[in-house]
Amino acid sequence: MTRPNSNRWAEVSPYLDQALELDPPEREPWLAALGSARPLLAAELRELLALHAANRASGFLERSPLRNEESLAGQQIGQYAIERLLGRGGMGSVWLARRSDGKFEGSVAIKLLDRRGLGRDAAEQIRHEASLLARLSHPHIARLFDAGVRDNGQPYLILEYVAGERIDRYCTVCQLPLGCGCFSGCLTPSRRRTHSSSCTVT
Amino acid sequence: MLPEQLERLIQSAERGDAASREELFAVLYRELHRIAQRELRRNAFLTMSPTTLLHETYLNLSGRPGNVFPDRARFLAYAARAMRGLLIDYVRARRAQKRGGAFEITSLPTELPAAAAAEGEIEGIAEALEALGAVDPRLAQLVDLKFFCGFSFAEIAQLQGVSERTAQRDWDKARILLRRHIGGHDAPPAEDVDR
Repeated sequence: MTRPNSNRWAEVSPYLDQALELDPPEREPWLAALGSARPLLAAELRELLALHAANRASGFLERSPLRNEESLAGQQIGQYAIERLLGRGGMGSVWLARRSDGKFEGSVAIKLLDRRGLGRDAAEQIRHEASLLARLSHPHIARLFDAGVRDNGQPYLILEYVAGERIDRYCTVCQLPLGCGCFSGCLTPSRRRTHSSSCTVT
Repeated sequence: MLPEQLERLIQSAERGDAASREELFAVLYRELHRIAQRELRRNAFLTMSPTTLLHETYLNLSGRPGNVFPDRARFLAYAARAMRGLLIDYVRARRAQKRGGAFEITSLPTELPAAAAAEGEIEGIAEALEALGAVDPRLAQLVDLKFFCGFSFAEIAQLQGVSERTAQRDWDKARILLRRHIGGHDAPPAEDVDR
């Protein structure tokens, strides 16, 4: 694509716009009509439309070069099929997922942890973390169902899904301190009392 | 760079001075890189999307005295290309690492550009985009915004002042030209026109 071709493109571009706006079956008659007066232009447009068809067939550039977490929707982690992103935070992202083998109805939350900072022993650490969490049982703590490491080395936790407000919105509405870094304690009236006596608001 | 210097640079870039435009891309590249590194040190880069990175960079620049960019759209017109450069450099650096390059780049967020598009493909796209930028800068910018920055058609339409349908068609056109370039079938010579 050298300079002179930008003039060429300026001429071809509006025709390509027209062609792309047509339904595919209408394109050939349109090209044939154009070709009687402008055979070279029609030939070039045919070539461009063929590239367009190839692009669509192969999904050329459809997927971002970035680690696009949206693409996790529909993917499988363990026995669970990921449905959508619930949220993102400093430690990783949380996804809504459903058991895909039909053994268990209902949704779970899958927390995917960033590998950075976990070092090589991610699998070991997540097992340790999970064994600690598994021993915690409290109505105000989401239950841990499972934990593991994906093929790419990324650790995950599979947790009970608790529908609710976003924490920051909840805190704003209820005028709870956001900066205290100890959200779990803030959320229930019974624990708020103990929480406020021990937590320094920053 | 001082706010006054940046302001002068933007003004002369906006007047169409090519050297100033290149300098401005370089400044924005460094700024994006600096903020990416900062986030990396905070261990948060993996969860930071390019749109967030651009947003942070814009806030950072516009928070300085002088408020150098007239608006976010003008900022993105330049920053999107800088973002492309940043991501392509990450991919290249990672390839160098994989090939067992003698140097080690420890501070790169190597997880960022993923295997969604083959890494070799990215290199081809990088070259084709340079060529596209010379032929139709607006289409190249659209690819930067869509492919490298992750903006939606609705956002791009608003940024470029076109309808969403036009943005979608432009995306198709840009991909056609990129594929033609990558396939080595560039446009026929300019004189090859029927009259």
